[in-house]
Amino acid sequence: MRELVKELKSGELLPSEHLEEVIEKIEEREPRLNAFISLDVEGARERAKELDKLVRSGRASGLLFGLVLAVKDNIAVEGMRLTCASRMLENYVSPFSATAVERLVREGAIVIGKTNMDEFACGSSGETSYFGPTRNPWDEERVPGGSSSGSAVAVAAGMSDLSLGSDTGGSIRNPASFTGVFGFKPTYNLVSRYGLVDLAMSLDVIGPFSPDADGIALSMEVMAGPDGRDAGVQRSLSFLETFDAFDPEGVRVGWGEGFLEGVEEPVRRHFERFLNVLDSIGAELVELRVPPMEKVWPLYYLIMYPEFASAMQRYNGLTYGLRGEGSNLYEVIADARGKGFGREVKRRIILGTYLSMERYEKSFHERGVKLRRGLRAEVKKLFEEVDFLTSPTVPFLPFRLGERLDDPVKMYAADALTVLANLTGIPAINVPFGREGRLPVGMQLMGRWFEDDRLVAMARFLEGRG
Amino acid sequence: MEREYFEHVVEIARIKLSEEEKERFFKQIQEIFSLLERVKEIDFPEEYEEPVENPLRKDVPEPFEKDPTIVFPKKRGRYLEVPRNL
Amino acid sequence: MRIGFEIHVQLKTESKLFCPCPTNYWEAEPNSNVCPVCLGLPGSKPHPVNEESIRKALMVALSLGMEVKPKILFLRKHYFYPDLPSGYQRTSTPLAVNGRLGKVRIREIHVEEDPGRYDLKEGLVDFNRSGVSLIEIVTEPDMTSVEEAETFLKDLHLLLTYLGVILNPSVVFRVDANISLEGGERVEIKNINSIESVKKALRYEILRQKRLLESGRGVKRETRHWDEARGVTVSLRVKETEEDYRYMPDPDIPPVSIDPSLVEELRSSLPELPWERKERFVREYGVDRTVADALVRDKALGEFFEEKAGEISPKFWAEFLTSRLKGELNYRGLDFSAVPSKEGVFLIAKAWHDGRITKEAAVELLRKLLDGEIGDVSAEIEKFSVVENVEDVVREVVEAFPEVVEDYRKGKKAAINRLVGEVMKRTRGRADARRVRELLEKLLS
Repeated sequence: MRELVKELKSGELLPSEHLEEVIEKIEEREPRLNAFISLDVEGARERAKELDKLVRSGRASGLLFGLVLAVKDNIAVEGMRLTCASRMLENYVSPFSATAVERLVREGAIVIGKTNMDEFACGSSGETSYFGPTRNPWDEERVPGGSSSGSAVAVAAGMSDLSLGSDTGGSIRNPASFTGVFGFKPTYNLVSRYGLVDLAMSLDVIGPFSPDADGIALSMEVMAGPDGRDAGVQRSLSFLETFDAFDPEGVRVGWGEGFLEGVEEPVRRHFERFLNVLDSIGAELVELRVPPMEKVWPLYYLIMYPEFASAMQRYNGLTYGLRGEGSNLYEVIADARGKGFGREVKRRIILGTYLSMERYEKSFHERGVKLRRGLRAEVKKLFEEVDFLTSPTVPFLPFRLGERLDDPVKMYAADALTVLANLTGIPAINVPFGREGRLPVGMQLMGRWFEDDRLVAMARFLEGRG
Repeated sequence: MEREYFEHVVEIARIKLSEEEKERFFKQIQEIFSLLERVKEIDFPEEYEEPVENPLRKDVPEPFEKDPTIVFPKKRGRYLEVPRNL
Repeated sequence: MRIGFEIHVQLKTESKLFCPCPTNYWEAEPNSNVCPVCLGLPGSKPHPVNEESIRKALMVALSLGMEVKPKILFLRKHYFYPDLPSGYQRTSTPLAVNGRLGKVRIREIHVEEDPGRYDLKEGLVDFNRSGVSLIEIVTEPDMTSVEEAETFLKDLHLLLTYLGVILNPSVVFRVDANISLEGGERVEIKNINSIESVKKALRYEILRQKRLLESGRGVKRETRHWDEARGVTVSLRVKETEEDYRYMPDPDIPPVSIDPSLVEELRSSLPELPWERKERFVREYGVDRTVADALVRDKALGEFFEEKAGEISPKFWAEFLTSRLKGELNYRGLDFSAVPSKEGVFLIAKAWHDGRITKEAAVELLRKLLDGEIGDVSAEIEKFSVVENVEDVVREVVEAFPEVVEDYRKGKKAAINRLVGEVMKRTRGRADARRVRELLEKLLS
């Protein structure tokens, strides 16, 4: 990605020229893929013209100069709609931008549009959007994964250079795996969440998609670090420096059977190949007793549901969003929420409300918090023996549209291997690793808290080895 | 899980559901609930939590430069207008 | 009878609790002190907690003798209402516990954010107030009469005034009262906005409950709403009371540690508290307890007293302020802040004290001053001034009539009348006879 930036700064390739290439790709593929909810082609063109001027006057600067950026539609971009792929916010325009977006734009990125997603990030397939499903560019009858479906597809199909998504239970890594691109989930509290619409506050993060590892390091260099608005973000990291100096020789990578239960055959096979590649680049493979993810992954839902129900309390259709009708306050609000939300969102809110009622508080929530702390302790111990952990990203290959849609439990199974990183807060990345037929396969690498820079650097050595 | 309590929860959640939706959700939610029961089977020997600090903010006022009331669906003057006499 | 309160006080800070919006909601254009955070817009997150809110809350806790907790958590209290844009209120766990004000124990104090203002009849919402810092003071039900309740609230308000923690001077505080009578359950009355209303609400409720108990129908546990316009408490409909607030620690706000050195700093720098000042006035100025109490109850009056107490007899001055001035102010329905010229008040008092004008003249001048009829106080005093130096005339007379003085000292008390008469003659009757007598008595003792 840095090569491209160099070209754009030098005048070899004008930002406006590059933008037109991207727009062409969008015109070609977007009608079928449906990766975007909002496009701002004119705005992007104006911005590109400004950047051209800078090139001509020799003042081109910024780490992301001229790169085309797509932003998931649950991340605020000032002046653009922030729909979260929901009828509730269909016409809602955000008066402010997320910190992450501000920083990327300040470094020269051009926002081309807001990408499609599962409604309010509730999904792992990209099928629950009010604006219609997104399709997998490698097989248009199959899902691209979710919930950051459009952002993954935009990058995979050349409709943007970089994109932003959010990851709560795997929502960046999952679609990255299904579409064959790098998708990165940073350590919780490394990137400001200011401007990210909440799904589950203690799990959500913003993260980048890129066709190469270099693009991940580049965008993270810009986005990471405190901003005075998100109290939790207190540390920063130097991604590029680590990226350029890293040597995988002697690095210890752990894996375990607990990460392979429920994983389908073709994916298992590729995982074994992945282990071989790791070995070939000098890593030391260590088999460990890892937590049995088949048993552990429900913990994610236990934590997520109540937080989600709380996050959704603000959508009453009064201050903003879809107005409801009725003869009293109760009816007006219930009507707005009934009409404005899709099925999965409603189901999760009810479940979350259930789990937060005083009656269930003690038996579920407290237990969930305790288990989460226990899981963290387990992972901490694992990282005393290894530097990275690895597993497949998703237990199965991209499935057909509609196949799992009305079976929530089956749908949830997609997250089985990704939730560990969200529950514990550790960084994790999807490394695109070859194909099964036409379908992309992805492998996951996880690292220690706040060693994101090393993780991304490591991922580079696995690039293109599939 | 009693049906009556389910109705109560739906009320608290303030979401208008059709009878058909209620039926479907009630069933699916029971399934998910039994899935969640799985967490009662796992246990870990130790616990760990990263200590997070929360430094306080200096009391300096800073008006928001834009006018965020553009998001109001209905206004009367500078007020947000909502249905009357609810 | 047991009465307890939950009192909400808006804290005087420049910016809101979780965002830097200004806090002067009562004078700002509607919805102009707002931002994505206090409007609960999608994607907004709370900024770090306002330091000044914690400081002021701690000051209140310390002045109530409370034990401060080492850290607090913010919880989300969920419910739906037009003035609550996030759909939840952020409210903290107790900041301090186990305090006392007079005979009333304070159970705990915690910090929370204010919602906006919703005009139900008009269907209008103004979010300027949304996010302003509040403390909630929870008492034990230790008050056993309406009088005790009133005393407590007045004492509390006075304390908060002395601490300088109240944001909006025209909003005393908001009170939820709870009351139970012997044989009945506890009833909570929500949202009472003045001490007078609290008295009315309690009296109404006591009557209502007494009737229910006497008729055998019993008093059940419930929450009621005080209707100021109709002067009654009204039962809230079931739906509104059967809320499950689903309290949840706010994942966006890490626990706030309360720095012990901050607590110590605040403890040692608390301003003088009302009861401390009262004791000091009695001690330092020899003022009567009741008079001291009156001076302390009106902070500005007490401060004015002290400002001038070095230039005039403190007891005289205190008496002048608390009965003369206060009397005239009360009659006119004014308070001390309405006095057009404080200096003028002092000059009048001094002139009377020195005997340059009579008491009647002083009262008349004071009335004219308060009614705005005097421009130049000194000039007016001159007009009424009888004698420049009454004290000098008194001394002259004492020197001129040593035998009379001797008689007086020997025990013939009536002899003083002769001297008073002489002073009055020399001042052509314009001196204040009572004052002359006082001055003579002082001189001759």
